[in-house]
Amino acid sequence: MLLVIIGSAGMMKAQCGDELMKQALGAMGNYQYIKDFEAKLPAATAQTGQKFSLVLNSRTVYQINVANGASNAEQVVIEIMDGDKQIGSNLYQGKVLDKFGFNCMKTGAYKLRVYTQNGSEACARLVLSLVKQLPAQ
Amino acid sequence: MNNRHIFRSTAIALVVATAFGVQSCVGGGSSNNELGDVPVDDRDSGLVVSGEVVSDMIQNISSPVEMANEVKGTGVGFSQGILNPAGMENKYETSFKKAVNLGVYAADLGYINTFNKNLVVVDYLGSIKRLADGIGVGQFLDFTTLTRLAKNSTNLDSLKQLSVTSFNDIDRYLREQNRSNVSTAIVVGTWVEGIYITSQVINQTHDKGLIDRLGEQKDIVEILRIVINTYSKSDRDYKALSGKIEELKHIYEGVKVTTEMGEPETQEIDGMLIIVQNEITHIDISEEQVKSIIAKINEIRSSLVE
Repeated sequence: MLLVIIGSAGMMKAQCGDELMKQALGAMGNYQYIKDFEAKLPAATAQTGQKFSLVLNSRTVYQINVANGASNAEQVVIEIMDGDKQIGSNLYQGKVLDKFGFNCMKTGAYKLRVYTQNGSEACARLVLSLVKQLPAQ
Repeated sequence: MNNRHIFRSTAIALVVATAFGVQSCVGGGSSNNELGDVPVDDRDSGLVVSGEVVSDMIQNISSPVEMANEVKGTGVGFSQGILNPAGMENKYETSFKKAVNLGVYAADLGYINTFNKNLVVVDYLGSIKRLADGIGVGQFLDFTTLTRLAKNSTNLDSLKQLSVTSFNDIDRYLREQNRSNVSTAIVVGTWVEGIYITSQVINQTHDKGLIDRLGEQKDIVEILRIVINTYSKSDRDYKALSGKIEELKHIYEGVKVTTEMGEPETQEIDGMLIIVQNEITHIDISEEQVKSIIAKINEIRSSLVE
């Protein structure tokens, strides 16, 4: 049992480390990197998910893209939340997308919730990047 | 304390408290923060939070990339004179001073990189490396690669990206090593320098977008105030800074930030899913308030870099 746990942790590290980060950065496109987040979802909490706090600025379009671990049985879902209110998600029309944009109009603290729909263990690397800043009204 | 102020303090407190709940669920109750098991009492809001929470909140406050792009977007040219000059690192003796000025230089580096002044970058990288070594995080700055990228004008995007990822790695490492007071000082330095640069450009341009951005810092100042207060009881440098942040917060009390409510929409633009937020922020800030805030920011920044 212990060997299985250790083996599983080792495999996760191998598949979720620097290479996954490079993959996420490679998929970011021509936008400017701001921050990355490392999601580690063990099976016990994969459906509840992991949350990350971040401050986003008004009049700014961001992109959030994700690279999933090679052994993920399902792709991770990302929700962007303002307090307890879900504003948007990469789960769109039944498909889990690997990137989405967020046109932020209110400066403040937001959260990203990362989870798997069926509770499979997963890891992922998320990259927040700057697409453009909009002029003041 | 008026009702609006109480409401705003409570709202900030709720954000911090919600983050605490999240940490409890996700972190499995374990804490790797030096203040993680010590409740922190915020005397204004009556809030009790853990150091881990405030660390989680503050790590995302300042982004040199966004500040520098906003400044460049006004059309104003590069001005090296407004930056903290490279080579000042020998003046900074305490861990706090080293960390906070590492943050100051991080913001300066973001500004310099955004204007593609790669030759200036080399001088700043040297100062950044020495300060990073001084607080035991020099291993996260690949000085050789950064310098090579700075000297090769075809690799500026890589330079920008490696610069930011290096600072994110430093922040992550310090928090993992129970040194959140040091990572917080870096973030504070980055934020102060970013707002200082913004303020200098406001003085030149009176740009409405930048003035709104300055006004929007009202909530950020409140988060900073809570975080800095957690360390001010045991650290003389933080205590000195705490008093100045309290004064800045007092000035910000007159700035009115209102939000027009609306439901978010989902759009597909050029094949990309875009979530459009329809809650719009309005900033009501007078010229006098702008001047007072800028004067206080100048004072805070001077106390950090001198």
